[in-house]
Amino acid sequence: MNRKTWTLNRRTLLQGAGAALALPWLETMSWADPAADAKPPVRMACLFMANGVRADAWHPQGEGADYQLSRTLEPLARHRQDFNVLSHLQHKACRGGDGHYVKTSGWLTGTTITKTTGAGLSCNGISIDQLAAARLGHNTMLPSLELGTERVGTGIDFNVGYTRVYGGHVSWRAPTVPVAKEIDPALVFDRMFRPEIGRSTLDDDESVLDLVRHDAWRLRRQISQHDRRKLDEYLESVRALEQRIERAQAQELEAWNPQDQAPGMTRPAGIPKSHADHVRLMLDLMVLAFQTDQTRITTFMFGNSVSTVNFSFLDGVRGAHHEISHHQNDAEKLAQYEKINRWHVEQVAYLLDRLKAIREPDGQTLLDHSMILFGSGMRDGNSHDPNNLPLILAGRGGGAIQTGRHVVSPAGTPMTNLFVTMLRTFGVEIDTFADSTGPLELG
Amino acid sequence: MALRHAADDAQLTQCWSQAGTASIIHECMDVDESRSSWEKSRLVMPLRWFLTLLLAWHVVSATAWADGPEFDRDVRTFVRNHCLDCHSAGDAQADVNLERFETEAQLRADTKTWERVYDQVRRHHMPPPGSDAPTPEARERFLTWLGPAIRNQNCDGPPAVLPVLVRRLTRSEYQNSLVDLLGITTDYRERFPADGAGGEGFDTNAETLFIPPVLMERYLAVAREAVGEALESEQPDRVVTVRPSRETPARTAARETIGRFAQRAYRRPVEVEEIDRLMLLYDRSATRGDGFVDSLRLPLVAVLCSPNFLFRIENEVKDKKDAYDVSPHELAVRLSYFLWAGPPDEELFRLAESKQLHDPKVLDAQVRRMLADPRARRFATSFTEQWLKLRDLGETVKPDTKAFPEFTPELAADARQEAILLVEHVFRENRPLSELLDADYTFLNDRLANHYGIAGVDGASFRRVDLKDRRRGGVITMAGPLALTSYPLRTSPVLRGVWVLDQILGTPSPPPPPDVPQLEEGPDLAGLSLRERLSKHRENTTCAACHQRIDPLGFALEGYDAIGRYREKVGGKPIDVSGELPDGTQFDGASGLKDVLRQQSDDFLRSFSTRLLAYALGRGIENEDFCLVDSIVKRLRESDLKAQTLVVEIVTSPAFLKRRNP
Repeated sequence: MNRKTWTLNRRTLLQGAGAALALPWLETMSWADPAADAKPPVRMACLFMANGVRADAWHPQGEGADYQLSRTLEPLARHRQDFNVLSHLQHKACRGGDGHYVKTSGWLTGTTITKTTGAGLSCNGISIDQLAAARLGHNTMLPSLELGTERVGTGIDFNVGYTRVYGGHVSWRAPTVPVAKEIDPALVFDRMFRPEIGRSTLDDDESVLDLVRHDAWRLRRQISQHDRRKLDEYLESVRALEQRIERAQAQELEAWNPQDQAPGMTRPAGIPKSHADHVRLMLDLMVLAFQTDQTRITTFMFGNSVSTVNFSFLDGVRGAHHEISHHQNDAEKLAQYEKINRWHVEQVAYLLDRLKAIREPDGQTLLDHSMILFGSGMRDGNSHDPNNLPLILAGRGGGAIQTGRHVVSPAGTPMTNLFVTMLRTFGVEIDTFADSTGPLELG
Repeated sequence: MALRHAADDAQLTQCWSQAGTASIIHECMDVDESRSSWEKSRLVMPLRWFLTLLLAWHVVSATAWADGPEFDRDVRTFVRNHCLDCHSAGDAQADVNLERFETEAQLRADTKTWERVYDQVRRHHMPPPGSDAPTPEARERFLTWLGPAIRNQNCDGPPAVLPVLVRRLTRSEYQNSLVDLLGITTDYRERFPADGAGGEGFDTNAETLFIPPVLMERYLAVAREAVGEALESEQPDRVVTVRPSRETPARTAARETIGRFAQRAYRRPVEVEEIDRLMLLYDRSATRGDGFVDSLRLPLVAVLCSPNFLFRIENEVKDKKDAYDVSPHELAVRLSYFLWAGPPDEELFRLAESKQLHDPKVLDAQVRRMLADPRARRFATSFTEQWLKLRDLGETVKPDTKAFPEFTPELAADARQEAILLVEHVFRENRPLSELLDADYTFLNDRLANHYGIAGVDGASFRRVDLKDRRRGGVITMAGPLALTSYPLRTSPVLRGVWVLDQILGTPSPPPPPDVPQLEEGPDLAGLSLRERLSKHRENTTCAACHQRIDPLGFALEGYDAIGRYREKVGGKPIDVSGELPDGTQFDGASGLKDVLRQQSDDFLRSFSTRLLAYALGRGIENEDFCLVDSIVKRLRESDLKAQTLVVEIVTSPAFLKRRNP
């Protein structure tokens, strides 16, 4: 255990019981000793694609190392040895109800969402990224980073009776608390490299937070029981901010490779007009976040559920994503749908290029130390089924994962088995997750 | 109750991550201390209902409440013969299972379902064409029994007041509050992630407003910037209300300034102890040598990050079983965030101080004053953008830039503005609500007028323009909604019809069942026009039930292209814009559609009233609220649909004036 780090965690210590309960965290921080010959940490990213895939063009032929890439996955050919295609994983809990929403909010939780336009909203679980962040996020300036391209949709979906909040989030801190994603690259850049918590005023910020926390505690006594959970949400965010300030002070905590400057990237000017540029920028920021150890956990939504991004910028595609995903087996529509899927895969290939180009001190690449999950919460956008989900997992997770294979599980294997494996690889000790039946063997 | 610490979090999250069964969920609830008993009670609610029903069953079997012969003949038989084929336990299409209703009491206990049934049958949407149709007499008898049974139930008792969750400010309300408090001009809204929506589709819905950590970071950063902007501006006196002088020592002036600011920000009188604590922050700066104004920064920033500012706090009066009046200051806040999307002004604050605000006459006068105030534009903007979903236009929904280079972001903003100005006008001038759908005037600038082909409008500023025909006028034929409900490259009668049903009439269709082809395409339909394809699909009974309602509404609007320009031909062929509703009503084009909507204004009035009520209350509208909605619609009819009547009815209703402990 790193004693120096420990003492710097002043606020936690001051909170008495809190410090005692925080102990299990510290056991996972042994690598954070700056003097140790530390192995690079594992990074984890989950990339969500809306609206499913054209199933026949996605599915590879053959199994194991000796398989044939499919048409849609062909852009990943140059990375063939660095990822696995995962077949026949499913989200059983996401079957019922509606076409899209449960397949979005439930994608990383493996649970069924509560059907509601607001009252009693719950995804009934927590997403793997947020679980990882809750356990190990304290090691970096940002416990996790949630990115996307589309703001949460206006209004509710009257036709199915769900709030669109469900369609705009894959990250859930708690069953009733989705984590808002950022869509403006400039704001993400600033958050990492021009922190709005100015370094010279750290103590001032703490004094402000002390005061508002006191206010919140006072209010808790005046308001009703059921209002308290909203104030508790507030208090948790105040706490998260305090922790961030503490980390900014405790340089030793940022033991791996902390950088407060962005190597090779200038501040983006805002949200680009072109969707393709927008996606690239967000992926660049993700790479940067990993490279500089601002965070080790990110999620990215290429689009929200029922995404209406206009893909007419691709040759041969005329229309919006969701519109085309309802292909009704029409040959022309299917061809367009496939092109949209393939474009997404190209972006993933680009991300892998970037991660591979970054060499870490142990001689391996950033990709070697990462787990990049990419896929959708449904297989076919026409039928919305959460069986045999289209998924790939890139990177070796620091050596725990053997790549270059088409991993075909027995039909009906829970996708949450993959989550157990990913969480363990990341360093979270866990036996089960949602409906998991054991880890997915990837070693 | 201890604040959850990180390790609790981990325990909790692990627990939730493993929760798959009811028993584990209950264990998690025990871990999750922050979850309220109210919320827990929601989970056990079904059990409570069951017990209630059981009790009702006993009462029913013993008293004159027993099912009468009419129930058996007019309702049970009707349901058995005409509904259960598709709405039974085994095959609950559209999520409706009517098989579970055995008795009158059970039926009366679920008015929400039976409201839907009533509306569907009344409009001839159900039973769908192609199925065994009831005789007109049977339909009439069914409706005659069901109408009063669902509508009048419990409306004689005390009016419903449901618990409302504490609500943080939306990012627009936050911005408006900063503007009013600090006099700043920078727009900070985009620094925050967009707010989602819930209830009836508004971001004011308390349950869907969250505070993730990134928000707290931004609150702190933006507060610092905004306070800096105010203090460094040319008129810092708006904030620095008292300055040190020969008579007034700096600390006294600071105390006075901070106290006044906190009172405005917290929207209530502040306590001495609160100011004492803010003064600690002042002292912190002052003692290290910061000047007077600079030393105000920290306490002002703290005020703007306090939950007292970020949340609309309403104190609970403990141990009250019945609904009780909110405090006068809380009422002022309810009013101002409803009609100004921002904080109360001095007059509202004064009326609250003198406890006059609950007086219906005072409220009436305040509504009219507030709607005449320029700040009513904020209400019009926030409400309209969400009511019509126009916020998405130019954001997540964009016409293709190559196919429609004319549709610039500026034009999208103009299109949104047209609808906002109409809503503002109707409320400000107390016009009939029907003008929202059908008016002989609209609001245009040169760019939008040019888009519409209307001559004689010069300059970028919007003004009222009288219309010569019914191609425009009312929200349905505005470029905004028409573009919003199109695909990037083409129009969609289905999207448009669905939008009218969802947003205007409040009578949404269920989603298409899985694996049914969407209507406009399909393998065997090549070479047919869109209308021919759609009519082909309506031959399919499954599709027909909904598309008989949807398609005619959308086809009436085919005279407008994907960016809302009027057109008479598509591909060189004249457009057939005629249609027939399931009840046999025939109409033609947009003007015919406007007539139909006027004739069926009950749906619109109910829907519009429901939406505005939900927007004002910050929650969804439940069964218990239907009596209120009914009475509002009745009063609207008595007052020739005057818009301000609606607002007055809402703010003088118990749901608005009172609160109830959960």
